[in-house]
Amino acid sequence: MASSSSHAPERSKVEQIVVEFFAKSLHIILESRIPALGGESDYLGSSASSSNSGPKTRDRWFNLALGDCTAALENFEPWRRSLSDPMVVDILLYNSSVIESKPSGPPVGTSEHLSWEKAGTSLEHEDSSMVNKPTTLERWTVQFDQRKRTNAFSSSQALKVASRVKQATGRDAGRLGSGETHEAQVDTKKEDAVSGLRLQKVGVDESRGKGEASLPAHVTEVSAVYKRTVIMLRSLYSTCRLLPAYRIFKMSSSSTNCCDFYLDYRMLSTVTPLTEHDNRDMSVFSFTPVETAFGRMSLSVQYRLSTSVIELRVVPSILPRIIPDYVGSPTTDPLKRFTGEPHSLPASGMCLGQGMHLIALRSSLQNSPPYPGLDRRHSWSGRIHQMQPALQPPSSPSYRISRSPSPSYPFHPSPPHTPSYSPLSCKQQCSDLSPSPITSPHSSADRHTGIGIKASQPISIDRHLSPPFSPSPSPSPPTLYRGSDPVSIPRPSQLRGSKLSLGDPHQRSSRNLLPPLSPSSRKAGVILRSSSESPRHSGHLLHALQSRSFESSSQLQTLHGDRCNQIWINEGPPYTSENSLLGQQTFSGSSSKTALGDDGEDDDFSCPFAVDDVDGEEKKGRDEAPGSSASSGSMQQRSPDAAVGALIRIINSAPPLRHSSHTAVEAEALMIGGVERNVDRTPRSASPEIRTRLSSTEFPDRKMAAEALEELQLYKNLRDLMLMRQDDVKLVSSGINASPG
Amino acid sequence: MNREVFHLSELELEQFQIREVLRCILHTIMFHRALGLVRPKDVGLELFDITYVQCGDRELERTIEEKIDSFVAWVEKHPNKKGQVCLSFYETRYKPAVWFSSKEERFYWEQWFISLTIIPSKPSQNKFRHGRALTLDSGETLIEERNRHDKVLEASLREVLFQILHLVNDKKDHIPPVSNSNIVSFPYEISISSLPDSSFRMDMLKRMLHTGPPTMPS
Repeated sequence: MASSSSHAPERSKVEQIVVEFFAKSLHIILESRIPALGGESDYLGSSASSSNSGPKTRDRWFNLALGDCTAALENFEPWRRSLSDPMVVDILLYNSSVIESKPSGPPVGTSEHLSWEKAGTSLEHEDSSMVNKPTTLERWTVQFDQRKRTNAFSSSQALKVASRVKQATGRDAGRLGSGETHEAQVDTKKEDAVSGLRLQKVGVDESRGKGEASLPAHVTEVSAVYKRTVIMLRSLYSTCRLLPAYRIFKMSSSSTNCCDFYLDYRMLSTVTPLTEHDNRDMSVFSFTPVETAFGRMSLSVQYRLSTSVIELRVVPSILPRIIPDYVGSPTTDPLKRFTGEPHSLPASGMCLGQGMHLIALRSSLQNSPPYPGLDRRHSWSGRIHQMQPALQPPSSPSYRISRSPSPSYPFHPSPPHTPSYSPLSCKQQCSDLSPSPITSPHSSADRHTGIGIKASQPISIDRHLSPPFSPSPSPSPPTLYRGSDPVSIPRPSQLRGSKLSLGDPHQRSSRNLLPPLSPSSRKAGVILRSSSESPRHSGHLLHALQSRSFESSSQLQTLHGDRCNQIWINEGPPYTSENSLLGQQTFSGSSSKTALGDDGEDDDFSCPFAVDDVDGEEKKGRDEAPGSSASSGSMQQRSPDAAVGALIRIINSAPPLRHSSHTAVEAEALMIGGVERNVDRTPRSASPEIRTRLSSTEFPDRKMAAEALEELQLYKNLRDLMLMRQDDVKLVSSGINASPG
Repeated sequence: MNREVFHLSELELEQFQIREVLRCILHTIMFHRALGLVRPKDVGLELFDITYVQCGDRELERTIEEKIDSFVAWVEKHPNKKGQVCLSFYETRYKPAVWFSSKEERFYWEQWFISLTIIPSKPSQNKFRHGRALTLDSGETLIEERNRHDKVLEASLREVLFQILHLVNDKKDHIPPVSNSNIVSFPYEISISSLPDSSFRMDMLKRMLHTGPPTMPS
């Protein structure tokens, strides 16, 4: 037998390898499980030359540079002194919401709170008043089984112990290498923890009863040991990222994390038995031990299965998911409402029920909505009169989808707003729509089932989809055009110019409420000004349109969509009227009048109109197109006031709006749409004078309004064409069905 | 020295998933065979919730990307065929030749066979992938179908990665000693071949016996 002195240098080298193996293992485990320690890792440079500095030299061990590991190795000193005890690292999951109710300082498991005891005693938390019991996600066991000169067990006894261990541990998903070896190690941990008994089956030679150094030289050489250790640590690094707990680590360490949980760890020098509940949900993954001449380095992990981790229902704040009803999708109801701030609701704002409200333009302008992303391209073509029935309840398909695979999540706070949900969602809506995968309220039942990670949603697909809305600074979200404060109104009367208004003293007197045009602005058009006043003014404006003629000196500017706030109307005194435009609407308060010829109202009008190019309005207009066109043509021939009156008659004869709670805003929008159509039609039909005035005006956004009108007309034509085709198909099919008979 | 041949579990995936899957598997294997000083780089897959590790060696990354491109091109030329990527580690030995010269010989001490079955993309799936308009019901069905397929593939890929971890841990005796300080310690090569169909397996075996293993030049 070789003298011990000849083995001394080799032994010291092996011991050093083992110590660094322990340290590196601890570093790899903690930096991939504890966010506070994982972020501190920093590479110490790529200097190839070995330096005498401790941290750099330690980082180069096993050719795996992970950066500074000072914080991770704070509690490693006992194992530096002695390798006789295993190093057990438990990764714990704490529910921070429980801790908040009972503040007790920093979470347990940080370096300053860790304590460990040797010789078979279990670790006890310093803070015994902690009510929140953690859940053990993983238990890593690193140990060095020193080879003794005499055998402790025979190979047969080792096999018997191994078989018992296999039954005790249940499903063993990670058994590697020779089964007897790993199962024996598990047996050490499970059954002989207190006594410190170590199973010493290390190879065939030992089973024959030989002493130390019976392994082949190529196995026990320092270089071979080091190489195998390098590979084992590489595997450890990869394994840490494949186990389910890494997902929780990523969530907890993300900058946008708002989960009610955090990860912590504790180090033990002995293997304390896990609870029965933890044991049941855990599996074992063992790495092939590295044999040395003086012992065996082994590494294994008990980890919570992914299915049980799913039960934990730990979800990130934002999950990528598919939004099937994104705005702009043909499958989405274009009238789908988005809520706004309650305080921003106008007095005459429409209550859509279920906590959803329309948002007025003025309020949006005032409050600069945080989610102005409703800049849908065709939002200005919404249907006001179809709003209420088409409104989607809070449990829309999008929410349903997001809700279905994930019942509840006890570790998540109040639901966050995501762009995909609703840019204008108010608090009410949020509370109504709380059962989303990231916003589900806590469930006591879920707490008892354990904690885990929510199963992956249609994440892989939403991962490739960008949020439907991007917050834009537009101050005029599309909902404005569905009945909120109107922002624009095309005034055909404005096209008439000063001649028409000045010629009628009656109209002049009734129009005195409207401020006169400035001499420099001899533009035929109406300028609508988005106002911060009550939208009920819009009702007054509408009424003014009904009963008053347009003021020829007013400027007319028609815009749609998000440009409506650029449309100005000469502000006149508010119009007070209780008349219902369509027999169902009432307007209260005061608003400025238009030049439509109403009498006597002196309220200042500052309410913008919504330029809602409603299809129903178009239909109404189309239904009465012949008459209206004729009337408009005749109006032009008669007088502008007559034309306006004809328009009013058309609008009055239109079918009532569906919903009884239509506000003045919506009625005005309808009216304005009708007026707009007539305005649009008017220049084309038989009004060269108006056309000239239009062309001669200088409206900064007339071009865009015209384009929008053209586009609208195009869409209407397309729809008519499709309807016609559909009718033709029906006719053909009916003809085919009839012919064989 | 023994030669270890590892056949990983076969994966069924669509063409657009080839790159991510192959990149993940090849880098995972190389990370365990690159025994030089590495600064590991964690890479998260875009298609799945899996994080794998790269060595950080640019040369290696470039080589792997080239091979992946070659495989994708091969798949496009040979649709509906099972492809196989072989990652081999070898030692260069010089065999003395007859006339005072030496012949370089490669001795493969480890080979990894990655078998991929490319599933043809369905028209409806294509439509969905390109984001066309779908009715709500059909959209949900396609979403659910896609989710199922992705989950199955993710589980399979995770299983393959664990399989790699098992094998690299279990088999270490055949690894030759490290002879350089490079990050990638051992010379390697990546080859592409087609997986023979079951009906022509016997013919292919006969051909292989006579001509050697079929390899596609990269």
